[in-house]
Amino acid sequence: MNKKVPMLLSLLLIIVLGLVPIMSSAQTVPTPDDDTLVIAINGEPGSMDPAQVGGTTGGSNFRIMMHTFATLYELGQASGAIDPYLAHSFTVSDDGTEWTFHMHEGLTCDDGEPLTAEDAAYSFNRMADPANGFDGNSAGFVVSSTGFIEARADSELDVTIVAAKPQNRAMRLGLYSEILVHCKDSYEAMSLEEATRTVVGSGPYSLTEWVPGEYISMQAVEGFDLRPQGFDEIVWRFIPEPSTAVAEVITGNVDIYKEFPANQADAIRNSGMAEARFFPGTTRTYIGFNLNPDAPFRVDNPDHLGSQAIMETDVRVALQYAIDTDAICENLLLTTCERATSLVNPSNADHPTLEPYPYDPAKAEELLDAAGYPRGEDGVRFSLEMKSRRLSGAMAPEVVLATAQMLSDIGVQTEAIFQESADWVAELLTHDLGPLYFGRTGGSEWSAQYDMADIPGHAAGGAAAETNYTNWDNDFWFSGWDILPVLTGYPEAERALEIAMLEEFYNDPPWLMLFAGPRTEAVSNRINYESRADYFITGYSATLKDDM
Amino acid sequence: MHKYIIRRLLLTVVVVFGVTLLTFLSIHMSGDPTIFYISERASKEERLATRKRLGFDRPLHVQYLDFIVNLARGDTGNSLKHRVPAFDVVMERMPATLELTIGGFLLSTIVAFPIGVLAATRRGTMTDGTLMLGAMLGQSMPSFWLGLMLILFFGVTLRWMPVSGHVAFLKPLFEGRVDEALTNVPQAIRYLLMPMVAVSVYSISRNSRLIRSAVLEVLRQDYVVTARAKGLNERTVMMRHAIRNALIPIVTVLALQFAFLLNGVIVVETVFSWPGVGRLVFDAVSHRDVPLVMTAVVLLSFLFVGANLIADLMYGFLDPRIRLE
Repeated sequence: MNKKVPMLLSLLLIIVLGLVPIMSSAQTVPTPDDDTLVIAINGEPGSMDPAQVGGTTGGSNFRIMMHTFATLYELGQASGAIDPYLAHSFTVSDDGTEWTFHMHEGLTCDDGEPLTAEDAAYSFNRMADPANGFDGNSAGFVVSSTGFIEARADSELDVTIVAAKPQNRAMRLGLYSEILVHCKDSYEAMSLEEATRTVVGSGPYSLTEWVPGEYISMQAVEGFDLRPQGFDEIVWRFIPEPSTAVAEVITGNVDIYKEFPANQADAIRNSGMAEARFFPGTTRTYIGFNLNPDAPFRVDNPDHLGSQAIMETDVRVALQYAIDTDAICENLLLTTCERATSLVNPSNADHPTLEPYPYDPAKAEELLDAAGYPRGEDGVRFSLEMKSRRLSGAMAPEVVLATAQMLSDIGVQTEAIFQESADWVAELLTHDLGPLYFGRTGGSEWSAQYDMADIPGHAAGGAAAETNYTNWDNDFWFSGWDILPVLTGYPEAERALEIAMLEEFYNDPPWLMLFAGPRTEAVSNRINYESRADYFITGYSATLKDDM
Repeated sequence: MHKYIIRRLLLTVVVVFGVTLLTFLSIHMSGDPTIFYISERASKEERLATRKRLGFDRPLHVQYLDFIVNLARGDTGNSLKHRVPAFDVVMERMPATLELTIGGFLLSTIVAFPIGVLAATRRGTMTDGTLMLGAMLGQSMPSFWLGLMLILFFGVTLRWMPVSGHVAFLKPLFEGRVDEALTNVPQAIRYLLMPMVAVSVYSISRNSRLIRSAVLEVLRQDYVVTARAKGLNERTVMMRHAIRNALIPIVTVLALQFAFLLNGVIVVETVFSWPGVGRLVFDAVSHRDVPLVMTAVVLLSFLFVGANLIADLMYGFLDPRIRLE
């Protein structure tokens, strides 16, 4: 025993001596200095090639690259604004297909190469060139949505972008604002593989270090005066687990973290380190009614009452009254939301007559009775399956389950089924998901037509159009899309038609309309930063508070 | 011995082949990976074109055989997300995973051994009961939850430890930057401590129970009774006769434990934002980045099989009666 005591004491001493330097240095866990802004994001970009936005390489890269690359125009900080950036103005040809942007003089890329119209044209053409194999938002969406044909430099400062069709101005400008401009000589000298990790930027910050799996850091570009540069350095930390990111916010190591889990708002507020913000977002959350007559669930089981019932407009209208979006938002998402009247974000809708469907379960039951679907002896009118994924925020399982319960409460027995993302998306794309599906889709604040484009017109395939996931077949809506391009240049007529189309959507709803967003964002108390309703984070606009 | 090693290495090829086949089938059974590489508004034509470009339009067996043939040539293809060779992406993250795995392995071995031996020598006492109760709790605790609790307590409340992140030690060492590696040691340990504990608690608990059983088994043997009857002191009995003979089953378990830790790091790396292969694989599976998943699986399989081979070879050193043929 006598021998053991000194042995144990020695062991303890060794452990303590070993831990002291570690602990003492740990107590000085560094928080960001005054010159550095730290932003946490869950996903890590696979590529920093400016032509590869989202898609394969993950959606987070645009958030980062909009600091290292500039665009001709930019989706502004203020709601719905699209602001000049590398270009100070633009002109549109009479037929609306050619847009000429007039760029600022004296622009350069990070390596000192002059940035001219030739570079802007190269950026568009490089992105759209199928030989480069880019996918995602720019090459996979902007090109097809605008009918992009080519871009050409008309002079040193004038770049013209040619499209196959005219389009609503806000929508076209917004879409062009998603194309990141980069210098031709620098990128022509790189292989596609090199361009994934090498950044020669055109924006307010230049990439200084990328440590895979950890962070990307960037330094303010000297002399760049088209945008503010509130901090000398911005660090983007990749933190996949939301609770960990919140812990970093609480300990003062992270300044901005968008989309924190709503149930952690109190922890953020109580820390005294950051503000927990809730605000309406642009991502539209809804329940889709799959109306595809050839969907497997309908073909395999033609007598299934529920999947036949939702084919009727009256039933779909009745179900709108069953959902208490206020209760969902206040109790599950811990904020207030504005219920949507259509597929357009409330901030874009500006509809003079439509009121959101109120929560009125008695009316829902009354309408279902009138439609010929009374409650059975077991209290059930008909049953439905609602397919969803396990996501966070507005698509969290508890939100899905709550809506299923609310439908069940009016006698529409609804079973929420959670699927693997790949299966869910695969069925969605082939219009086979349902009979109900719980979905969300990105939206905008700057163009109602951008939001409406989820369900395009005859030219895109009508009911069979790729993104018309509900297979909604409404001739008025499809014809509206045929007419809209003709009305380009006549904003009042264009708006009147948009409103008529949205009324049609409201009265013959393919969606059970819920709400846009909401979004959350934790913002450190040491900075001034205006949150954006959309997906983006503009770290360059953040500044250190004067008293910090 | 040489024949044995060659036979085991050949078996390794079979194991890796089997593992790649199962992984390949499982990743394709969960749906067409193409949908992860297109815009949500992509047309059917775009989807089909992307499918063709990525090679997913070919029959599955052709895709798999292509992978195997290229693997034999040392080419596992480009990562679909990172657009650079998948092998490079995995190897970039491997040092961080090795830091965590080796750290966790050492911690679990160093802690589990005295606990197991102490519990065995105090069998039936309160010490034994307390230690085994602790071990049971440790085994029941999910590493994900434990990680978050460590962050909450040591990172957020006490602020003793960094919440997440990593300071590299092995990577600069492997790249020949020895001075940088040595300078990083104190910081590297600080950042490693919590993830290392989270990843090893299950192993500590499981190992200590197994070590206890192995030592108890040996303590019942005649040669231990004889040693005690000869009047040897308890320390000599334990060190020279009991523990050494108990080592064979323990070493087997520890080798398997190394492999188990490799699996466990997936969750822990995610919780602590540790830039390792586990997190990379998790992300790659989510994105159905087939080449990246396959490359990581091949490399981890080699590590797994290698750890087992080392364990087998150690038998011979621990017990000269065992001859590996």
